Amino acid sequence: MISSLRFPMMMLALLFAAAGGAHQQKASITRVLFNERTGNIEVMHRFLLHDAEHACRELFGRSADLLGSSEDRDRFARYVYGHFSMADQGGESIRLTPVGNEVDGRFLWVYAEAPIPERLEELTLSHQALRDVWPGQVNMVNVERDRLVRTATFRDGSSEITIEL
Amino acid sequence: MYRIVSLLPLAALLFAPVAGAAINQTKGEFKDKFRQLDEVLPTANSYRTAGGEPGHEYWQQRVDYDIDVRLIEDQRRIEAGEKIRYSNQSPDTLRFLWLQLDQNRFRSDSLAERSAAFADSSRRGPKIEDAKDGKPPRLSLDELRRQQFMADNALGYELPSVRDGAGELDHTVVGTNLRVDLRSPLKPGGSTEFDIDFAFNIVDEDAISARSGYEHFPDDEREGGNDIFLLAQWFPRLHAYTDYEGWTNKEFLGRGEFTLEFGNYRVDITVPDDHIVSSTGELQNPGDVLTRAQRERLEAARTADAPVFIVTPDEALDNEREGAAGTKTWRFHADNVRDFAWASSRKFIWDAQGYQQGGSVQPEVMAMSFYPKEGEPLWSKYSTAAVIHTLKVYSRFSFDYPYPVAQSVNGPVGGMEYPMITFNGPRTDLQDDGDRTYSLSEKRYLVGVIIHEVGHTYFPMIVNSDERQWTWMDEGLNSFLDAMAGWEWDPEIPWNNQPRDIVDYMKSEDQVPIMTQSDSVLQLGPNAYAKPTVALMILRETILGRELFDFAFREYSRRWMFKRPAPADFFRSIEEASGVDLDWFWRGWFYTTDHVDISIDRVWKLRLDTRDPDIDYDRRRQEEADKPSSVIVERNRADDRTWVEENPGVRDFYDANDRFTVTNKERNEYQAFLAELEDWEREALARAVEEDQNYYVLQFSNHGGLVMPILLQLTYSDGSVERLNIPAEIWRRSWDSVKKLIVTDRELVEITVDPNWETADTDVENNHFPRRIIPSRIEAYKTPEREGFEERDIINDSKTELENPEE
Repeated sequence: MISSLRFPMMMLALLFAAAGGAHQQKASITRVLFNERTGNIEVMHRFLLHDAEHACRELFGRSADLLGSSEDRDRFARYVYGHFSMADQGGESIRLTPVGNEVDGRFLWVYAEAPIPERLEELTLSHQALRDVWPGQVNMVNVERDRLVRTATFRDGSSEITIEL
Repeated sequence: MYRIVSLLPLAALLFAPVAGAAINQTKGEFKDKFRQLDEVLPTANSYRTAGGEPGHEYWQQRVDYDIDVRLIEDQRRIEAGEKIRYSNQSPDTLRFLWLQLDQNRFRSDSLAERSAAFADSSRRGPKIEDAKDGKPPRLSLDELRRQQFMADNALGYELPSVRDGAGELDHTVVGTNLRVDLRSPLKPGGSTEFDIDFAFNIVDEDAISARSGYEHFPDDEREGGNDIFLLAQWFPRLHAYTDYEGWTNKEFLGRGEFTLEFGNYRVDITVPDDHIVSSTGELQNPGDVLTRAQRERLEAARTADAPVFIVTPDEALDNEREGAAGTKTWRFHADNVRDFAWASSRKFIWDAQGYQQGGSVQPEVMAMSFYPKEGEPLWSKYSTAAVIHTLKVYSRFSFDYPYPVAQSVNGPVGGMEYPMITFNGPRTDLQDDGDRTYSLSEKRYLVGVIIHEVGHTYFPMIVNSDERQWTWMDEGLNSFLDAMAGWEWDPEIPWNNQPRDIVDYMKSEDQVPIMTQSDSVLQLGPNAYAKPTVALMILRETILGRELFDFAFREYSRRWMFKRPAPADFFRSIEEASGVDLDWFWRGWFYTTDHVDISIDRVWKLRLDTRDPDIDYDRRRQEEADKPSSVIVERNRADDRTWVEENPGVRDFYDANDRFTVTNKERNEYQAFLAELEDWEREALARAVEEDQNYYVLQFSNHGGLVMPILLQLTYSDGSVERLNIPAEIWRRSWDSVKKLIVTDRELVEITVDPNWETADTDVENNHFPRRIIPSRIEAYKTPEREGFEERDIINDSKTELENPEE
């Protein structure tokens, strides 16, 4: 009997067409700050305004004026909220409340927060914003509690990163 | 023989674990943040001095090129022949030469392609997503286009011939490198000539994400549309042969860019006769390729005070509609350049303005821009202006611009630099009403990218550092200067390139030292651009001061103009010319991943013990009185009189004289003490008692590990404010905790470390004594008074009609 060598079949899906523009910096930085003063985990995303404007064109199919239009900013912020998540050691999602957004110089900031849960030992993060738009979008998250900074960087295939607190 | 065989493995065993750390502190906790760098830097020699200067036997090779290139537009193909003249100015005899074949990076069997991991984000190219969250892996349509383009087009060089006067030369292609074996060894001082015929199919830049290629415009009126061609890394060119690395023939993986030799270029470029060509070098035959009107406009542009159209937008639009009848050959000469790039299209609008920089090197420079209508109206307004501004600022920081032209070309490449020519990407948006508009951030981006890319003409196109090894040496220095030029262009633009803008990166775990080879760097942007920029800014504004820094930076630029510096030459030159030991600075900022976080922890107030009882006892009494009184006593007093108050008869001597009362016993002791002092001791004490200064001891700790000057702002009770900068050397015996004494006649009420945020201190909350609550961004955002003028949408609001309340 001749048996053919078999590989497990796996589906390869199609992404939507992605942006071609070559002059974005494709990097964001997020601070996840355990603020003992307010009792909240504060999530502060920093995007480059210019990157975000180009991304809006790809995401929403039209150009956006993030400097001038608060509607456009809110829309981008909603997109960001949908692409960032945190969960505790049991996999329980930590529900973030949108706080707002603002432009500061060259940067667009998007804010959210959640009360610091009791007995939080691990934080599992996912930050996929703009990673569906550009290859090479790198989202770096600094989790800051007391003096300690732990970094989770979303690049390549990384979808979830767990940090011990 | 036996001994050698047995010793080798032992030596490997001994040295392997301590590679890069030859000298270690192995006892105690002491870290020498000021340890001199000598053991880390290469040993000085006759080629490179210990002062960072080219040595008395410094040498570099020279390579001259004559190239005849033809653009075959309908096939999007280059066919060319080149004559290379290689002059061996090294002390070594060469038996073979190494050339760069960068186009081979696009072959499907290239090391870059084969070593690309699935879904690796560091690849320049479209999106591939790995399986995640139960979803299958995903390919983008762009990736499909890329793969189909690579399957359908034979990419990489075709090399029909490599020969010299005597016939074919043996040669071997190794990935993106070509070894040409010389017919006879090339001795020091000798030169050799050989010819290479080559051809390649140009890549679709939008599909492949190269640094050059073509961009297709299918919607142009001409049937079949039009293209913009950007040609860079397009001819087989010599690898550098250096005193510090030999052949710099590290395979091209796509990121670590290039290092090349200087030489003269004679290049004939044949293109369709309706194309406009922008190129490295000076056009030699304007009479053959330009109309009389274009030549007259160019002449007028030399002395114009604003850019002059050489090809107007309307003329470019006409060109776009029509086709070519034949070909024309544009001839360019470029002297003393390390590379050669060009662009060609019938879509180009062309403007020019002469920049009269003066001096003897190149008194007049033609600043020029080439762009399609898709860049308008942004480009005609800002591009050439930004080119001239760049030359002004950069020349002040380094040397006069030595070339006859400086150009900015719009095409499919986001931003790339070559001698005298740069490719810059920003475009405008076509609106439904036919207008082309742009956002404010697109405008700022255009100005920023042009300054940056034109700036590269200085670093590394003239100060010829090795980009394949050290990205920071050109990107870092250039980003620092583009920051300087940006602020001088318009300080109202938030350039966000200051120390405060990199603190989140600096404190993150996801980084490697700046001194890391280009292909291995994590987060290239912050590592090779932003962090060196901030380091140099701090060096200029905070540590050396502008006068010393600018002198030293100009000296480094002068020393290495048209030569090849290595990192040590930069570090040594700046130290040598400023006269300041900066080894601790280079060590901290370039060789480690430490960050700045200096905290003021405690302050003690001290007063001189005068030993004079008439002074000291009174002070003790006052100190006691200043303490809060007992709560019990206070409350009792409100309720009732005390026994002693109700019965005055119990009072005695001790009620009239408290325990701080001075008697002659103490006065005699004081006089006896004074009598025992030397004269000078008595004088010093008397003066100190007279002046009655306050003595403060400030305690600082270093949480980030990077040693830096402690910049203090001292606020006194009389409202006066004083600045005091404590040099970084205060940390030399104890890197993590130090104390400092401040003597003053005033009373200190507040201390702030780094009040202007000059040092990239990552935690400013611990910079205040007494502690201040620094609200987080979210806390500040929620504060009502934050609703200020910044949030106004005046673009939209300005459309509001004025209302008349009486109507």
